[in-house]
Amino acid sequence: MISPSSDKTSQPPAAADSDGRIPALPRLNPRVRQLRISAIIAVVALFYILIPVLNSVGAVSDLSVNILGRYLCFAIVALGIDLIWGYAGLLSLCQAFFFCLGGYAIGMFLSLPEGGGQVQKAYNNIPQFFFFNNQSTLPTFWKPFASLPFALAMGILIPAVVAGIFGFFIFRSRVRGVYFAIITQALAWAAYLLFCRNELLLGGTDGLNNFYPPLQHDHHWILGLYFLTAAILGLLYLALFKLTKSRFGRILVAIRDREVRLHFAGYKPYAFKVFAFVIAAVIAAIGGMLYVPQNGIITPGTMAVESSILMVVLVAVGGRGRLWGAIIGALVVRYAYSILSSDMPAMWSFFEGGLFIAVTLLFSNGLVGLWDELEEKMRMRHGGLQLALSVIPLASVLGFVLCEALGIMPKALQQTIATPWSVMPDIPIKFILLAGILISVALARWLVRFIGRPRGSVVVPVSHTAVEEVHA
Amino acid sequence: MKIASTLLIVCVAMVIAVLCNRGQASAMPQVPARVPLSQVLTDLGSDSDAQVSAALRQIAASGNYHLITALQAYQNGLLAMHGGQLVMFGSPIMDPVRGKLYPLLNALTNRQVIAHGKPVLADSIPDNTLAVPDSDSDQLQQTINTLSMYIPGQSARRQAIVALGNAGSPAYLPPLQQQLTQHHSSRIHRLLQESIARILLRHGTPAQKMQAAVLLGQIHSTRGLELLKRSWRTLRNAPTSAMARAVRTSIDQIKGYTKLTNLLFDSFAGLSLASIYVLIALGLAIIFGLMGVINMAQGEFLTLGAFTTFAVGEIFKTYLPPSDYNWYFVCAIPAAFLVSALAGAICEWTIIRRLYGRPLETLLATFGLSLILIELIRVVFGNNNAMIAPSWLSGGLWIMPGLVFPKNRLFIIVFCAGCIIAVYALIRKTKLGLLLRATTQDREMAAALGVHTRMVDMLTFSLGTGLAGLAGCAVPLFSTLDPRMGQSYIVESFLVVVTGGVGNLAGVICAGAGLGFLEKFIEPWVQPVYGKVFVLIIVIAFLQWKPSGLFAAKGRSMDH
Repeated sequence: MISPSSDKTSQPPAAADSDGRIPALPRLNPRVRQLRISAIIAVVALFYILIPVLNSVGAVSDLSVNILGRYLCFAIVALGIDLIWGYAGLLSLCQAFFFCLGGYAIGMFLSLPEGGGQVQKAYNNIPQFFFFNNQSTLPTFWKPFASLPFALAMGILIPAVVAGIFGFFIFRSRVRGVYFAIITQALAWAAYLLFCRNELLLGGTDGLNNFYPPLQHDHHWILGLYFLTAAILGLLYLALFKLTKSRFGRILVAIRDREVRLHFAGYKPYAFKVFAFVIAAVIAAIGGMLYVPQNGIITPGTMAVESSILMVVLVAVGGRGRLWGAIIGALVVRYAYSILSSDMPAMWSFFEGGLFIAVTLLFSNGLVGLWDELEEKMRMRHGGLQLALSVIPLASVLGFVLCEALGIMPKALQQTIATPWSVMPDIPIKFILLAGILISVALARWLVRFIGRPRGSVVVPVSHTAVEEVHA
Repeated sequence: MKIASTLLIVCVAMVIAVLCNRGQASAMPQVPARVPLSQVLTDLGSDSDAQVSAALRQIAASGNYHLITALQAYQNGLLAMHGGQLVMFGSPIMDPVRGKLYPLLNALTNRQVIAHGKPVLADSIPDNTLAVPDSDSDQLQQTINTLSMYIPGQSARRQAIVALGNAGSPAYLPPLQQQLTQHHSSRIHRLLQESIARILLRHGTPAQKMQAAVLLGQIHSTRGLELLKRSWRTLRNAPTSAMARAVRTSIDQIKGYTKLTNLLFDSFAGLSLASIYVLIALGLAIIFGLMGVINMAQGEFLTLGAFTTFAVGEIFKTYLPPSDYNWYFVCAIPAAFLVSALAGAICEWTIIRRLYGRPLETLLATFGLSLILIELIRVVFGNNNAMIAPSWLSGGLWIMPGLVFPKNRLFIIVFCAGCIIAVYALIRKTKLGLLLRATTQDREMAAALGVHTRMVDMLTFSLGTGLAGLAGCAVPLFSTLDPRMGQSYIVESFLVVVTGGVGNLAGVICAGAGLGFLEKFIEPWVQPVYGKVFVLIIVIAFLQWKPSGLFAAKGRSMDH
């Protein structure tokens, strides 16, 4: 059983020795090591140095940084989803709900005058929507949210408690796999309906807004929030990386691969599952808490059933079982969403649906799969063509997203070409270019495989995760 | 089996036909003979108020409902004397040369007044039309109300009788009592009694009031309840008097009866909601329960069925005479099944087939499919459409006083029962069902015995989506028709299947019925939204007790 999460270099899977310690991994291949180090340096330099510097000198607009900051919040959520889906095999379809619980907690603070909310004297200095619900004073449960520490604490505690209670009852009754996904979806749906009600005094379908305007418009606030988000994302990544490499992480993988066996070995899988579910919920809530100040509004629409599924797709595109895949996937999909919905609004739904199907049908290991392939080829000392076939799709997608994110896409590629069908809108050249590259690389890969496998390489079949093999 | 099912279908069809025709088939009321009233009518133009009053009384007594138009014209100041006869001004017509013209109509016959072979048209309404004397305006309204009681047609008469009771004037007593002596259906008889009692309770002698109060209680008149409560308030000081006791008893009788009818109606509504759930979950039970495929696009196959129904309706509207329009729904049922089943087969062939055994990825892929289908439907049909239910499905079926079952909900129940029987027959009695069961129980063994399992998979999947299409036929009867409609049912129907236990149709039917009833019975106490939240909590609690659903598949394997 090959799991994509464990490094190929660490095969066979290391078993805990008698002391319960995990033996050290074998040394990495030096070329792969070099590749990884340079990639890590590039990413850290890009997010923590290059973008802030470019923004300070004015080469990258504040808006682009604001958008990037928001998308990094989705990357944070995706980290949590990767923990429970990629490692523990639990597909939760209610992460957007936890995201919103965090977001609403901070949103309540931000809509009050103490948090810089835009309130009017004519409305008793409380958020205006209360008056549409015939409420002229601040409800009691809102009052403590005037303090930031309380709001932050609630933003973490409430999702943790909700996830803990829900997870306890669900996992205790051995609801798993698909049933877990369906029940969590029902939870997300019920929560969405609930938050749309005005009686909840959380703004109904209009949600919370009228926050302190400089949060989204002032250069310093934007850069500060961006830094905060990027720093928290980095810290969470390191923490989760540690966690997944620890004994706990191995138990999660064991739950995913053979829960029954773990059970027989004397573990209580449900306790671990509840814990992982709570962690993921808290991470999602943290993402929500960072998202709302940068977004300026939070509505129940953000926790609709589709949003949760879209969050799962972030991880599916990036590749499961590898934390950085979640981050890359989140950025790629969110940017694809914003680019397509602004350039070709009518086509987004088709593209989104097509993306779901393509990811599951064609490259079920996501972008991580391409990277693994690259590492494998480096290790096996493949020729330039072989390397190029792995690098080009990865580099073109990332380069495209980066150019769009920083607003440095060349003018020539922005022009559109009219299509012969009236239903279809005009297509910008950049999309055609990207699609052309991807399709030609796919063709070339197919040809290479068809003409003959290169000597010395064993083509490892793209395996599906062990969960599905168990299900099969 | 075939004979039995045919007989069943025939029986159901006959029951529906009888139920639908009941309204029209009842005996027509006796229309009083037309009396020459020209003289009486011209009296309306008289200067004497008393003469007008007498004329109105005579008109009311005549029971000639044709005069309602004239009286309404009189009320609106459109009645005038013209050349010795009484005429009214009709609704204006536009003339290219002279502008707005008012045709003159004979007040008695309602026909156009002809002079020199041409209809007489007035440029404007003159000022000297007949004015209703102030003292007679109430009586005029009463006369109109009384006359409307004689309009033929059961429902018009019922409405008129109730309106007389609502008005509550003693002037209506004589015509109502006169009607009571004639032969009428029991429903009308009861309404007449009710209206008379309501008037008497207000204006009668103490003995009559007493009698009326007792009668209202006996016939469980919900319309009289408010009146009885009002008289109870005046009588509260003397609670032991015979009248007070009679009123109290009647109020209790009516309240008890209302409780009964509400309970019956809630049960009926619960049953129809349960039928919807079962209908939608039935396809999912086959796809998810038997095949193990999570089809998040199931809701969109329902939408597809709904829009097929809409499209068939549009085709009927465009190409066939309006008289045939009512039959579109009958044609739409097989069409919706076929379209959804075909779409399902194509999806199975292109997408689902490649994902067997990978349920979580199937979930994502089918969700993507649902997004594409929603957008496709939106591109083809647009956002704003409304389905017109055929006339034989509108209105209600009168069960007993105060209890009317809407026909569309009744149809859903019958339709759902039909679908369940058909699916059971298909799975248990046909060769396809046999192959289907064999393939789902032991795929390899079935394949070894020569079953074309891939083909069976495709047929099973398209059966499931076709059932969703059938549900799509029925759902728009009482919900909106828009491309996203399927989304609102998908979560519930998955809950139904999970609660019912996977791989078991009986479980799904029980769970659908259970959740439907639960939701309907919770709703009166809490808002509908909280009802849904409650249902979710109850399902989670239920899964604590029975983790694999109501009827779990038996076996020792822990790895399901």
